[in-house]
Amino acid sequence: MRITDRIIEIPNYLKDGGSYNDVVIFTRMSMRRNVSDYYFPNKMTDDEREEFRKNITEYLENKKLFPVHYKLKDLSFEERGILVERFILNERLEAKPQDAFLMLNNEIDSGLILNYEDHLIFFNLFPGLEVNQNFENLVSSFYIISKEFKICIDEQFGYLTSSPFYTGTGIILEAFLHLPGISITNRFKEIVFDATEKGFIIYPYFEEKGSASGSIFVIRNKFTLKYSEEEIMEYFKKFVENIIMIEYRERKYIMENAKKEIEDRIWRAYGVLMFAKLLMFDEFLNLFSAFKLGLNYGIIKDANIDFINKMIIFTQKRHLKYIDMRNNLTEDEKRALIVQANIGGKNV
Amino acid sequence: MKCDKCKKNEAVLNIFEIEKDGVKLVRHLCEECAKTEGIDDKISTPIVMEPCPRCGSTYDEVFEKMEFGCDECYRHFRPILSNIFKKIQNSEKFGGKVIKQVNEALLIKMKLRNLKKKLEKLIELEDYEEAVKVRDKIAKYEDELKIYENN
Repeated sequence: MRITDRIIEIPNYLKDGGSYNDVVIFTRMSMRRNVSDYYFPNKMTDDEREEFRKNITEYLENKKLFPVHYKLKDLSFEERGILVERFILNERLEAKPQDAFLMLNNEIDSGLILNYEDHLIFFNLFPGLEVNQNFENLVSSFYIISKEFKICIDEQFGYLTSSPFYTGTGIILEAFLHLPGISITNRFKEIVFDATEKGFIIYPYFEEKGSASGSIFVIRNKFTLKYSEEEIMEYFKKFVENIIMIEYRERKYIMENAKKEIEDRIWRAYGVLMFAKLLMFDEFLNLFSAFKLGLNYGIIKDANIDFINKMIIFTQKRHLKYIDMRNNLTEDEKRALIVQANIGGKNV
Repeated sequence: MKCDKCKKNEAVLNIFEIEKDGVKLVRHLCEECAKTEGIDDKISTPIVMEPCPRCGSTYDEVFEKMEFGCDECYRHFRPILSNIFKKIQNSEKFGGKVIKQVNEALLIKMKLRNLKKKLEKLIELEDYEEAVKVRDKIAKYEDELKIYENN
């Protein structure tokens, strides 16, 4: 199956379920492990990496775990780009896939990356902040592999990874949040300071000229060694929930103090999204942010849209290219058409 | 190698600084300059060390790129790792759990979740014949799960 064959599918993690869905777009969780029979991937030869890949894929084939396989090198730059736009891969893997091998479940929301930085990177993506249940999923997949392969572990340092930034539990949690309130009232700096103090990193996901396009931010944990898995999840949830509460407070403050201005901004955004003929991605994100806020406030009620968050992927470059194959249309034209098809309920 | 500060004495320490995405080697200092300058808030490691006996990763590879080559590197460089981990992880001791035995109940729970997702999809696609099969499977696993949970 080619990755482009399923391009119109809306990933489960972008359907508007989950807790705090007016702020949390989705959460991504990953867990890194290494196998002690081999050097870490950066020190392995090509043959060793291939042998390791074969061992793992053959073993998992009987277990029916992660049946969708891609050798990243064999995908085109654009196909890898689609996976980046879907938040499955990071941009470094798009540019330099090396010998990394991607294994996915049928729903394409959970999987395993082989031979990239570490031997095994388990990951899954899900709506809301239900980290505990999804952690069980990661651990279950890991159990299956640890039955057959000897995993690197050390009494002092726990699970050993090639980079010391993941040593210990190897767990990274990343929440993707929509924070228009905090952006409008300019509270971002305070939050960054608070995050650093508490062992978290917060950064804008889409950045254009130093500002956060669409007010979409990522929060991730910085430490993997000190705390237990349960503590990492608990502290993460608490910290993100705290940010969400600040966001709610700022949204309320804006409504109470600048009702006309914010309503104006929301309706203008709606108008442009509905009728523009050309939309640049960055411009779209900022309008979309105001539009989404309007839906969350209950100001915009009549928009006919099934899932809001999916628009974040369907308006990106590679998705546009494969969803709408017409060559005579530019990217910005296609973007405007797809946005109108979605929020206007028309079929374009 | 001479000290980067006094340019006279032989350098004995590497001084690192933490950046957003990793650690960067900033300079080399001799013992005296390190003392006068005060380096308690920085990562420092001795300059001379043998490469890892298993994978051959050298000191420079491990600490300038912040990249271990194999599990043995952790044991080999252990004497200087505490210092590094205190700075970048705020701790030098693993606080997590070793996930040891296979937990069958967890595996069944995962299978159940996947099957339920599949069932939803089949109903959406109106493939009722296949959906019945999946539903029966779910019932079977749910019974099995009860046995594990009762034990």
